[in-house]
Amino acid sequence: MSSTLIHVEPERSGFFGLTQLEAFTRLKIEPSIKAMSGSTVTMDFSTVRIWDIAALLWLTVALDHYRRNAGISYILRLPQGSDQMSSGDRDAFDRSADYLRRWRFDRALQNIEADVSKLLVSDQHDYFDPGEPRRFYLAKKVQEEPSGLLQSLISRRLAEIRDLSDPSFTGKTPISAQRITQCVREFQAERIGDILAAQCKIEKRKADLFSDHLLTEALLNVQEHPNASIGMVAISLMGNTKELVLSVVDNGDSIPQTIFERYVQDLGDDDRRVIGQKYDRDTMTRDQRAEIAHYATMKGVTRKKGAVAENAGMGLTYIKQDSVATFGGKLTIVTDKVRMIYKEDPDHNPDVVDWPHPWRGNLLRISIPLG
Amino acid sequence: MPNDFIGAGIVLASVAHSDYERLIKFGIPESERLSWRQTETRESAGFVSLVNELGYEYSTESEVQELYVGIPEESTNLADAFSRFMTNLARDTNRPPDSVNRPQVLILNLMPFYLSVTLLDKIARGIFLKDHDEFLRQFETIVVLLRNIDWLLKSKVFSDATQQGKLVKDVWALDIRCFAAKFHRDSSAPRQIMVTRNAFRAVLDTDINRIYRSLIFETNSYIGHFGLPSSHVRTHYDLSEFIKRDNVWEYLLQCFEELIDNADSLLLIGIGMERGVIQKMGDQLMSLLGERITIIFRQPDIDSEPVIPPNWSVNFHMAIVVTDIICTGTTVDPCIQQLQNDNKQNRLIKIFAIASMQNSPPMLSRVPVRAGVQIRRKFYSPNPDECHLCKIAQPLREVKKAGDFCYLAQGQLTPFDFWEMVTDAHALERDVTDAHGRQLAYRINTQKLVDRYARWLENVIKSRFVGTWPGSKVDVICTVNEPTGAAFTELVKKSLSVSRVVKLGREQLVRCTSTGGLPDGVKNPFKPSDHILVVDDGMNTGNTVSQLIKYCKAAGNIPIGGLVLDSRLDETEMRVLTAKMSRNRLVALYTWPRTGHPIDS
Repeated sequence: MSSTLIHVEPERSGFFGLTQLEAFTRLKIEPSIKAMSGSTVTMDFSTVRIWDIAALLWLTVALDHYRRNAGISYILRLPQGSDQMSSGDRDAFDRSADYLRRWRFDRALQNIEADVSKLLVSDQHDYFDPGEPRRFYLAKKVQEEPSGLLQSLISRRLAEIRDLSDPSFTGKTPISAQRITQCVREFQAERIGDILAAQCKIEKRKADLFSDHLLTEALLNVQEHPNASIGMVAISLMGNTKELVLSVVDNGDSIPQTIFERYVQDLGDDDRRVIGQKYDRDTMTRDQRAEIAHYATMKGVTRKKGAVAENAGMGLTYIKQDSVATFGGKLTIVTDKVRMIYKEDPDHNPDVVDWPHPWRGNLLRISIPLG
Repeated sequence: MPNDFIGAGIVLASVAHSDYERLIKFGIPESERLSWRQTETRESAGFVSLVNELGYEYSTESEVQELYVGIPEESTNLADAFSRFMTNLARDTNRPPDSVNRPQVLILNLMPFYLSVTLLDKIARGIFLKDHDEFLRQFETIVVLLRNIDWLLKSKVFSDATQQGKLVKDVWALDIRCFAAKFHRDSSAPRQIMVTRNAFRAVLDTDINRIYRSLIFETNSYIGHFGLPSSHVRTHYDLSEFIKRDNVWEYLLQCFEELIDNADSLLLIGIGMERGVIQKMGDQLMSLLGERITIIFRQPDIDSEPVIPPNWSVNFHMAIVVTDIICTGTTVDPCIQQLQNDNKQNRLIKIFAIASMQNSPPMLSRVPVRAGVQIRRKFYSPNPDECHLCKIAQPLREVKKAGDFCYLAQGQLTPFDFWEMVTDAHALERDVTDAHGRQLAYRINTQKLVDRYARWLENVIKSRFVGTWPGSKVDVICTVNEPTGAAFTELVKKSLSVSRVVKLGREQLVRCTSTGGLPDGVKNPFKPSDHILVVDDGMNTGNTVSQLIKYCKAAGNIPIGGLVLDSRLDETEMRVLTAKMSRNRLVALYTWPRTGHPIDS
């Protein structure tokens, strides 16, 4: 079997975020999908020094799609320091590798292949189980983060990717209310607010809102997206921008798709033309898809009464409101080929750009500044 | 406020524990139920104090009527569930009490639940907007206990209801962090105050024996033989789970506050293998006390020296070393000595441990050890000639980091494991008649074992299952419908996250024949794709397990295997049973023969 090598191109600083992931899939993978059939593709991430956790989770959803739906056979080369590098480079790439290990990226990859080593190049089969002592991570080497916060998160295993699917499930839709609520409990019981109050001097009640409110609502929101076989949540520290990042992804029905019926019912009173329309992400324009997704974040989103109104959640509304207004942060939503960013004023329309992705799913990225 | 509320009653309404699982499908997570259950040492009067923290003056003689109210299975959504809860509550409250005046205070206890704003939207709709006004009007005061009042403050549903004048009474919300808010029925802005922790301490049952039981019997644990650098120990308890509990944390906080007395600046040094637990303690103490006490918390880097600021005694009135469990003290002692060597201002140095062992030193370098809990076990010398566990050949696990404790050795449950549990739980019964009518010289009361050791046995079950049936999943447990084995079956169900249990009566089992399929008129309880695990608490002769296997096969399924707590069958008898399952495995957590066992002599 022949092999193909494709390189990821991070930013010049070595940063790999959502923008770089979009470019990677659009420019490197999609044009060559047919050519990849019959060969094993090596996806080379070895030049990535800094990861955005949201991009990492969304990458997992993409990899699952390329395996399952596009039928591509691939292996990954992940970043790693070596003796041939300069001291600075070696630190950077060892740190990059250590973050993947600390985040438990292997857990994310287990959604695709139970034996993660089969997804890695042969010289990295023990990537996620290197021998002790590890060259990196020591708290005193981490210069840029708010003092003690990263150490707190790591020592209490709060920086690990959590899988919302039941690994023992056999079937199509293993995302369960039980697993989601278990995650909610795990995070709330850890009192992350105390960490933020103690380490970052954030006022106690505001700090508690992070896990008791933002994180919980983001997790519960996954239940609104049926037909998901993958769901993941993670929190992370962006040291260079001094932000706390919370990311939740799933590969279920998109936000516009799930809200479209309510959108049509509500708008149908004013615009009869929408009645009877069916949602189709491939024929609708970017602005149409964004408008429908934005509708899910608006207050009083339904004018209906009774059980429909009672069940209509306001999770995204609350998430948007508090990410932006209370914390002064940003909310990014990627769904059905659009990327929407809310910042500065939650009542303003979001910045919308194209973010083409052939796979189904949703990404929420909440970033709050730590001062 | 006039003193005319003597004798007034308080209704404390909580969701019935048995119905917590029904709330999971609506997105309400597992709860912090253990801290909030009614116990023999929890003071109901504490709830009166809690209400009085809000500015009332109810007498502590007030009768508190505790009601555990059901949530019906047929609830269609969360609002409906809590509306039905209110209906049931109204029904239960209106029953005339034997004594006491008409109740004046309604406390709705949602403290066990980890909620969110969207969940509160729905709960608030069910409680306040579903025609329960007549019931609510009879109370002077309504108090909602929550883990975070900001959920209610941010709830659009509750806010709209308040502004539209739909509340029939003023409503207080009070949370575990001591924040409180009063929502006025005249739709004016909520008033917010803080209360003290005093009432929570009575309400949460911080009795030392309760706390001890919480650690030993209600915390995830491993039992074995663990080799630490300077000692061997028998048990490991998941302290991270332990200190998450509201009552435990309240107790530890109380201990710590007694320790620091009036100090207004503290240096905390965290030492110990359970870095996450110690870090959590440091973060929570800084968060809770940081406004009135200057606290600096340090933990040593991996393999580095402790970080004690030079001339620490100039800047801090007191230094406290915080640790997880003290055995010999050899981990903590060097830090104490370093603090003493640099203590020019002669400040107080103290030690605070979550737990200590029975034979742990009471002092280290002349500093008393204050431990939250004393575990009623001893640590052993690492010298094999002196360690009791080494002498009885209990498999040894070397521990270098906290995760190493989470381990089950090959061969566990060992005889020592099993009989120590049985002895401690008083679970050995003599001269009993079993369900078949046979007279038994001995039988193990598995209910008693499970009552005390469920958390450890859960780990044993998981480990043995994964080792025996790797990559498998159980869809349904098949067992006999008898009370003696119910506790063990429930434990297996929980341990392996099984959703269905099929319980068969003995009369059903005896009707199955080898070739006749299920008896006429009997509905097949299994699906063709079900992976069935046969479970029984114990096997004396194997007859029950044999009948269960036969039933499964009559229904068209071969079980993936069987799991029992203890077995008295020999190898030949075991092979006979496994052959009935096409050689699928039959696992006993412990085997002891019927004859020739020391207990028979």
